[in-house]
Amino acid sequence: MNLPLSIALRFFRRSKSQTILIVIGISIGISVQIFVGLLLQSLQSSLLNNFVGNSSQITIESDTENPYIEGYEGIIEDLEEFDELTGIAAAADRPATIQDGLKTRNVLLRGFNIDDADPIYNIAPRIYEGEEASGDLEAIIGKELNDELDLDTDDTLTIFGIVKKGEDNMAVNRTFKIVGFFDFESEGINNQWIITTIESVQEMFNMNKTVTSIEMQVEEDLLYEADEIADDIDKELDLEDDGLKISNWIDENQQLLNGLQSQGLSSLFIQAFVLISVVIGISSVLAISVVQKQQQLGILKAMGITNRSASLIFLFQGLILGIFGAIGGIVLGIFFLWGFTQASASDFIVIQYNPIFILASAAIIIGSSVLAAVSPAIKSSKLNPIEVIRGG
Amino acid sequence: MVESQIKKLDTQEDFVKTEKKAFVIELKNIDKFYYTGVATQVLFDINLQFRQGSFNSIVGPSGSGKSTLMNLIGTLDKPTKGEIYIDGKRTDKMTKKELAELRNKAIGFVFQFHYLLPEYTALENVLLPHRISKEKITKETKTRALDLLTFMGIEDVKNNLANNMSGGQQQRTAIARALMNNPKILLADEPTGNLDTDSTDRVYDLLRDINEDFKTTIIVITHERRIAEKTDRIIEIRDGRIHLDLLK
Repeated sequence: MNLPLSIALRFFRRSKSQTILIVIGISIGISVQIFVGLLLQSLQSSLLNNFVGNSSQITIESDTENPYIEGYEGIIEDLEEFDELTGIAAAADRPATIQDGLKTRNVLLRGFNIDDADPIYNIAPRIYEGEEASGDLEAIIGKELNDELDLDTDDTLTIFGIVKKGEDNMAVNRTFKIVGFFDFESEGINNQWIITTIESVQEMFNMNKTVTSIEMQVEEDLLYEADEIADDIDKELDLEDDGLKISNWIDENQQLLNGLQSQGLSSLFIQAFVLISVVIGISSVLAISVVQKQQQLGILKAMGITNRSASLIFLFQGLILGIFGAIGGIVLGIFFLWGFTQASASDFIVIQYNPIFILASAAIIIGSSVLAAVSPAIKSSKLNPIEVIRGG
Repeated sequence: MVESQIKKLDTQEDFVKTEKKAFVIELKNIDKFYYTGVATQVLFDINLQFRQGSFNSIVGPSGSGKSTLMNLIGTLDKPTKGEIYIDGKRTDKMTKKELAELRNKAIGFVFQFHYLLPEYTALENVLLPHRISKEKITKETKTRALDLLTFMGIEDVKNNLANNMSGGQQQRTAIARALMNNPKILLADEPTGNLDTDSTDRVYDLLRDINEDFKTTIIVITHERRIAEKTDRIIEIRDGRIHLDLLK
């Protein structure tokens, strides 16, 4: 074995308890870094997933008083050219009301082409009873709304709406067959949305072949580029000329984004400070070790060990501490996260054991440990054997 | 003794006249200053030569400069002025790396506090100079290390860590270690300063055997005249100057 490495290992073995203590110290530091890093990453991801994962990330709507988009099928054909988009769905949305005994409740009647909307809204898995609305005048309603209405599948529900006819408003109503119940885990949506087919809404509100919006989702790793993609679509399709406007989740959720960014930044700060304290710990332990071992170093130098080899001993010590600290830290950190998920009743956060983050953290800590050993290594290199030998 | 003292000046002159290559160590006009705020001169115009295979001692009271002289010979320190030759090579101009290699190959050190590496066994300590030279540990190397331990009479403790040996055993291990790379020179600074009389005599008997068997040039630094008298040549240093150079 390489002599400096062998000496480094012997020095550790000689002071076992000191070595074990410092490795435990480093491991705890790294575990905090892994724990905080993975937890906040998972939290952000869960937040985003809950917030924008199952909703429209880019939306095209009318920019005029007339809310209807004509020739939407042509626009969808153009949008299909964009590879960044994973889902494109037209929606015919109209405000409506329903009667609940004597109460009138406001609802949003949403007409989708079910096959197109599923990739965006992930509707099918959220139907806890019944099936998707696929035929004319079939609808599904949310959990909370049904808690009030107490309907069963195949029951009917009359929905009222207003249709503009010239200058006048005209009341319309249709009786829908309720074929299922959904739970989007959002009280607002569950209370307000009634999902039906696009044709049912078009017929009820006399919309002909128009829709009120075209909704899109982007590739998961392009989520933070939704604004740029929207700009590209806008330019490519000349939406303004058609009296249309395009919006994206980033522009509309600046506060959430700022919050996420601040959270990410605070996580980085915590990790950086943990890392700094670990590095200072390693550096001071090794600096003490140089003093403790100066007699050995002095005689090794007298025997002809080069200054480079004398410094390598401590660089190897830094490397070894880093490797064991990283391994211990990862194991402890994952254990803490496991404990956290066991103790936490909520399944809101799904912990993602991001291997790239874990490996990058390990690489950073190992690199930092070697850096922490540089100063002790220089001390060791500069140590004058005469001083040691004279000192007795 | 008296005869020897009379002989001393002639002897030194004889040394100078002898062919250069016969000297394994040569110091020419050495001055050494230490700078600790003010410049203090500790060695004054030292001229010394040591023959290959000679058994020498440098004596002198504390602060006389004998340890400084040993550090210069051992290439652990550099002179302020003058030239030092080890085995014909000028050392005061060498780089640190060249000096380290020279020390590893040509010089063996024995110190008062023996300085074994407590992390290693006696055998491993003896093998260290060979490992420092970055050469592989072969069966022959190991046999040589074991032979040295046997020569020192400590083969029984070869697997003991330093702390599990007596002071005398540790010092004999340190001597075996110093001899591992078969150096031409063995420098021993107060090698028995920490040992009882029996162990001291044992160590000097061993040094004598080494000198005779291996033809190693031995220089012992001591402040005890009684010990110095066990060697063939006594160089006395006083106030940084050679006060006496006595060949038996």
